[in-house]
Amino acid sequence: MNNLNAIGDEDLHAYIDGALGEERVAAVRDALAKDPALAARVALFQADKALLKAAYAPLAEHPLPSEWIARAHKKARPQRDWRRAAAIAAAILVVAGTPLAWRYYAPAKSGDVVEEALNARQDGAQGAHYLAANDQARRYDTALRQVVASNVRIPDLSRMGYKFRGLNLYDKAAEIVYQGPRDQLFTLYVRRSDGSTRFDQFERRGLRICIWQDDQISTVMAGNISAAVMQRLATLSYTGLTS
Amino acid sequence: MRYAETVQCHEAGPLLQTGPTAYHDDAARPSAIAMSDPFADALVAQLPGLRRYATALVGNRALADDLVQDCIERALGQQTQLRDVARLAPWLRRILYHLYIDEIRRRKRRGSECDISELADQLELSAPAPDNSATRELIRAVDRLNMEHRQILLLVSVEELSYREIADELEIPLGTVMSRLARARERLRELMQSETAQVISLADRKASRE
Repeated sequence: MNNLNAIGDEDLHAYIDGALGEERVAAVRDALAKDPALAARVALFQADKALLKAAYAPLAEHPLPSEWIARAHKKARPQRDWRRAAAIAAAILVVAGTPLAWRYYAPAKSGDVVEEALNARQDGAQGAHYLAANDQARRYDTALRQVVASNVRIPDLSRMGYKFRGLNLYDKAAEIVYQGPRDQLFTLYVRRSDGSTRFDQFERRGLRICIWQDDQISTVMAGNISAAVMQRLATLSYTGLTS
Repeated sequence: MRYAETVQCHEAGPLLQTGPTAYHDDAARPSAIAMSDPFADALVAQLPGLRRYATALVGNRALADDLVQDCIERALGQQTQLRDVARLAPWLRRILYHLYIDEIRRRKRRGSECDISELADQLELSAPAPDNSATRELIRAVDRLNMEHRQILLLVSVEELSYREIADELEIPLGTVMSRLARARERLRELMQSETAQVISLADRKASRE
């Protein structure tokens, strides 16, 4: 057990967690190569760590109670003062005479937003204005905001290896298109919410779907991916969209 | 790949109409009216992870959900105390931990305890077939750890925090994180072995009766 004494239990655990400097990593690897009992012990700890991660992972995949989401938004939203409310009301009255006003101020009609999103995904660019990805990021954000009529932006999913490929613009909705690390398609369909809140994850038409809806926007994420990947992508997408 | 072809066909052009629908001033744009609250959005984004942490820590889904709900209330009430929204996740976990400590004290006074079996059953069913009995043993073993050991194992293995992040969250020195983690893993190993031994012993007894 000389190697163990020289290295120490804390070094072994730091090695398991990737928290050791390069020099110590080399020393631990050398010790493991020379001491099979020590290597077996480290392997057991590594297996326990992996099992802990895997065992509890499904707990983050259960849909959140909608009242939690509603509660967070209800209380946290700052109260508008009456001057601001009056200004908004006046602005609506001024533009109410034009058809465009309704396009931007009315909530989207309640229908199945998931079906809408899946139809959009199936139809591709047909019936939509399509903006292919180039380097003008600001242009996409502006286009998205105009169509969805909310202060949103194109989420950056590059941390998870998903590259932005383009934006499909519909009358009151948009579909943001990403290409994953193994060329898989991930789409993020965004439109104005009907005011209700909803969070759910399920499978439909052979795709993993996540709907994340607050009282302002509905987002439907779809891809041929696992539930765990969807959970991470959904969190990154929603926070990126509304940041 | 449907979109690979589309990208080649559509060079980015001025497809969006400008004119009456274009807003050049943020204040005049409808989005300024419908702006969402960044704190609420960030809070909601943290909830799936917070719920997982709570359930793993307390070993009971109903109690974990009660704690998360209380945590939301407390976070909303104290949001001005959070200086950096990037620190939201550790801040929420700290709130939740203190709520749990309070709950343990209340339960001790009342003499009621949580049953781990339900969670063990649920997670065993969620695990892939080769891992499901190991998952059950693990959940039971984690439940038998003391609070400090359970907490540090979850922060490292499930939440995947660095030692520095854990030291900051628990307000303990880095060396204490390392030594506590080493002890926690040793203890978990002992408990896992004893859970396995119990399962084998029960199976042997059943077989000998048959």
